[in-house]
Amino acid sequence: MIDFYGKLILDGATGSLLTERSGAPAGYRLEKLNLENPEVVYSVHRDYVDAGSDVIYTNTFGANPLKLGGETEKVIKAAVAIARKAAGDRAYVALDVGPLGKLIGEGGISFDEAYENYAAVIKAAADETDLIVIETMTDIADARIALLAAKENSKLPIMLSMSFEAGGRSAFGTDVESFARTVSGMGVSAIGINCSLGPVEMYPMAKKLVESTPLPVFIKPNAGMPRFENGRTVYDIDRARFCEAMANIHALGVNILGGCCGTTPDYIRMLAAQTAGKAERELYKPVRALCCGTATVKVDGMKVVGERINPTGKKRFQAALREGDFDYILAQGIEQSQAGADILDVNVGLNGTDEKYNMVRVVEGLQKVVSRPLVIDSSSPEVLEAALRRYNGKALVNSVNGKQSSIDSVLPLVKKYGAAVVCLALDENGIPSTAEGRVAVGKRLVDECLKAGIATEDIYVDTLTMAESAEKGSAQCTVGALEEIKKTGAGTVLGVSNVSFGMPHREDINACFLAMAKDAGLDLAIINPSLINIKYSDYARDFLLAKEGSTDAYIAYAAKTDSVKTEDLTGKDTPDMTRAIVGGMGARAREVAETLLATLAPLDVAAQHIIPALDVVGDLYEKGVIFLPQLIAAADAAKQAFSALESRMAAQGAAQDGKRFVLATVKGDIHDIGKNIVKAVVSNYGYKVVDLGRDVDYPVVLAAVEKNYPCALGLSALMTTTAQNMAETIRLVREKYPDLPVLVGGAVITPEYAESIGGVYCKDANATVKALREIFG
Amino acid sequence: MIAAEELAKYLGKGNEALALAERAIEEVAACAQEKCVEATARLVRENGTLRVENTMLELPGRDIADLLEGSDAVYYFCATIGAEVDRTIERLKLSDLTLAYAVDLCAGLWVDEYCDRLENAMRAKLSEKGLSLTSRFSCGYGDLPLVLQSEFLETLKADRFLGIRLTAGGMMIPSKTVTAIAGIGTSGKQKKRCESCSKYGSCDGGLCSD
Repeated sequence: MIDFYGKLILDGATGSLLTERSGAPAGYRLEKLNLENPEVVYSVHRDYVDAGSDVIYTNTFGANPLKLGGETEKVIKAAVAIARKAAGDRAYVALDVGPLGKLIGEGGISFDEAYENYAAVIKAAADETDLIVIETMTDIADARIALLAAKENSKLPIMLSMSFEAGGRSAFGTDVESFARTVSGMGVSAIGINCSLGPVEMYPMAKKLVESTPLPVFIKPNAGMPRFENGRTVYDIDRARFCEAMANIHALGVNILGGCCGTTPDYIRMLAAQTAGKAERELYKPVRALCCGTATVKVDGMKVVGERINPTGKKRFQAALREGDFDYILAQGIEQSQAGADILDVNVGLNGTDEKYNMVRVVEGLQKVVSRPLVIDSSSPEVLEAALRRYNGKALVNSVNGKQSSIDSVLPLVKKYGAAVVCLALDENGIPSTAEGRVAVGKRLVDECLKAGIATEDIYVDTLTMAESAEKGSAQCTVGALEEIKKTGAGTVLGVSNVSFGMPHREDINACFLAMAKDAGLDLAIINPSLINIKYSDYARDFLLAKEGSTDAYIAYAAKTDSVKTEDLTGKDTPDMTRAIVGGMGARAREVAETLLATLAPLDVAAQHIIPALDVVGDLYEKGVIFLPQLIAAADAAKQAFSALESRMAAQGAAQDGKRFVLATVKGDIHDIGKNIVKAVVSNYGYKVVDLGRDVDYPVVLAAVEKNYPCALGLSALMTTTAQNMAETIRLVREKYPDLPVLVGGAVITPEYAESIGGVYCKDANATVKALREIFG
Repeated sequence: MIAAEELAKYLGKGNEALALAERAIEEVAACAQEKCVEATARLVRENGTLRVENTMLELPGRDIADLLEGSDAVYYFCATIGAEVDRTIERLKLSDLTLAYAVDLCAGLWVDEYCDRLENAMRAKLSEKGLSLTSRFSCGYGDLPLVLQSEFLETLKADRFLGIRLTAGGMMIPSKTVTAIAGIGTSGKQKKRCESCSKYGSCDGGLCSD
């Protein structure tokens, strides 16, 4: 058994030493030496063991099927055998797993492909080593996939390290603390930092890591910073300076030490001598924290959880889920972050839609555009697990409740993925009507969590907000229970808005309830973030305190406030839609539309005011009076005007008129600004744009055409390498739909090329509108 | 640093375009993280092929051969302004498409300008030794194949040191990343970048997408 809590000396560089001793050129796959020149690999391992390494890493850093193909297993088995021979009974052998070197997600390989490749590496070594080390990870997604593959295909202990740059972030943007909090709960034996920097630059990061994890920490820096000279990599600090800096890191309580690029057996020998003995580490202080791959939020005071990514009661959001309009959903995340949300709740459960698919899409998408931890909100354990697998942080799972089936299915997931959890204070008997009843269920759930191995700081109890209008005194019951739970040391969470259900001016009541809950010790408030700055009235407070006559008083107060607002809106001049849209003034365009709706039907507002305004914009753009940015701004303004019409148009059932335009950036290409501009402009002309996104595979395009036919198809490509995928897409779709109009564009597309692949060339968004008008008449 | 007036040329006319350019520059300045891996190596000529010594890097095609005609060594590098720039553009695409367009343009100019600085610094260093540097050339220019990009990245360990990855279509991520090579020699022969471009003559002199 390896004692990760004891002192362990790791090895130094393998690659740079192998390059030197074998004379291999830069860029050569050094893992092939396991077969071609096992003696040189053996000599490197043996020298490290002689120098005092307690653990040596096999020469398998780049040994994976993506880089070595069919040779992978042979190379890995040879590597393990060589390391075993060199280690004898003097050192442990670690299976070394490096990054796949491929982009994961859009434009690259899929999550499942990455997983299968890591699993192939783990299986090839067949637990013939003493442990597994996953190292030099720059992408937290990559690190987590490798870790899951190792956990699910091996019983060996796992060490995991990432590489950080001088600014304290990995190349993909992960900071040290978020890395630590993300993986500490996922069943690794030690976590560390290696490569990229020398030990001097790594010191502050080592310190941060020690503060952010209860686990043993290991540090394996380079011999300073690299320089490339005539095909050779040269590092800038000698072993004396290396070991001096490592002694400082050891003093932090880091007892697992080694070297990365540029270090040699001589460095390791001196390191072992100069860092003798086990250094004591300051006690790790547990804190409540959630994180995404790029930021940690410490829950050290009430934090705001944005509630708007949720279809309940929201027609527009439901439509977005049904139509796969993920941009709309992601924009909700961005808006809430900008409005002050610290954390975002994600709920996409809607009848008739594929919740698991939608959840994965939204979780993956949000991680690219917002630096906020996510709450995975679903009643289905299968959906929870799908999201947790792909979420690159420490998530909050919403939720488990007191029913045995829920405890049995949800808590193991929370534990496995190192997440935190919301415990709803309800069970088989429903929601307890008293504060005492909810406290009892809450406490029982806390015990169940602890039993499942979930730490106290990762548990949040929800004492359930009910509609005060339905039952007087329920707000006080919720807050009272919360106060009691808080005393037990568990965290607390509440959805806030429900309290005002059935009442006018709900925000007033919500804001007041929020203040009351905060005073009682609320940690996480699930609300519309714009609520945090709203002043609430004494009427709302009296209502929530269930004072005599307070409901009527509140309603009378609300009615008065409403009438003032209505007066404000009257007496204004009829405004000019064209001026608003050409000027790119979205708020103004919306206002104008609302005013027009008083006298015109929504479709007439569109036909008589918005479309003519857009035609003016298109004309000005064509004449070179305005430019692309103004065209986009005008399209955005028109969109706002349309949004004023939308609710009423939907009510009249006038949305679809058969003019459908399926739009995609072709397979392999992820440049989509041009496509997005086309979407923004075209959708204002009454066309139903079905945006498939970017890097869209051929069958997905075909399926969308099938679903929407008759329609037109729009394809964009920005690279010469992907233009041929455009040709292939058209070829496949035309096999089934020979008459389908296809509009193509993008930087590398010329009119001649377009014609040769059977597409109509559109040089910009304006040209696309013209082409569509010709097609649809 | 990009001049707002320069960027504004691509964004329209007047104060509005200038203001947009200024906002875009501010956004990029806030998230750009310039970093690079640089290398120099001797050039080996064998049976009509060009190879960078001690590496797996072979340089096929007439255009690169022309550029390196008087060179006996090369300077090559990978430079990027980082992943946060991509995140910013992704976010803006959903919240402010106009600004996203301007930031994307600005970031492209930014990484190019960063490459100019790297190139000029190396040129100054070489001139002290009486050597000169040709202008830089990248995979995908002229007849130097784009597929060579992955060799460049491997040789420079750009994945390990900069976190550069390729998409299936051969595009580098982070997207504002450049790899380039230039010749070192004594001849002092300089080729202008545009002149060595295969589109020279047919190009309208606008933004270069190659």
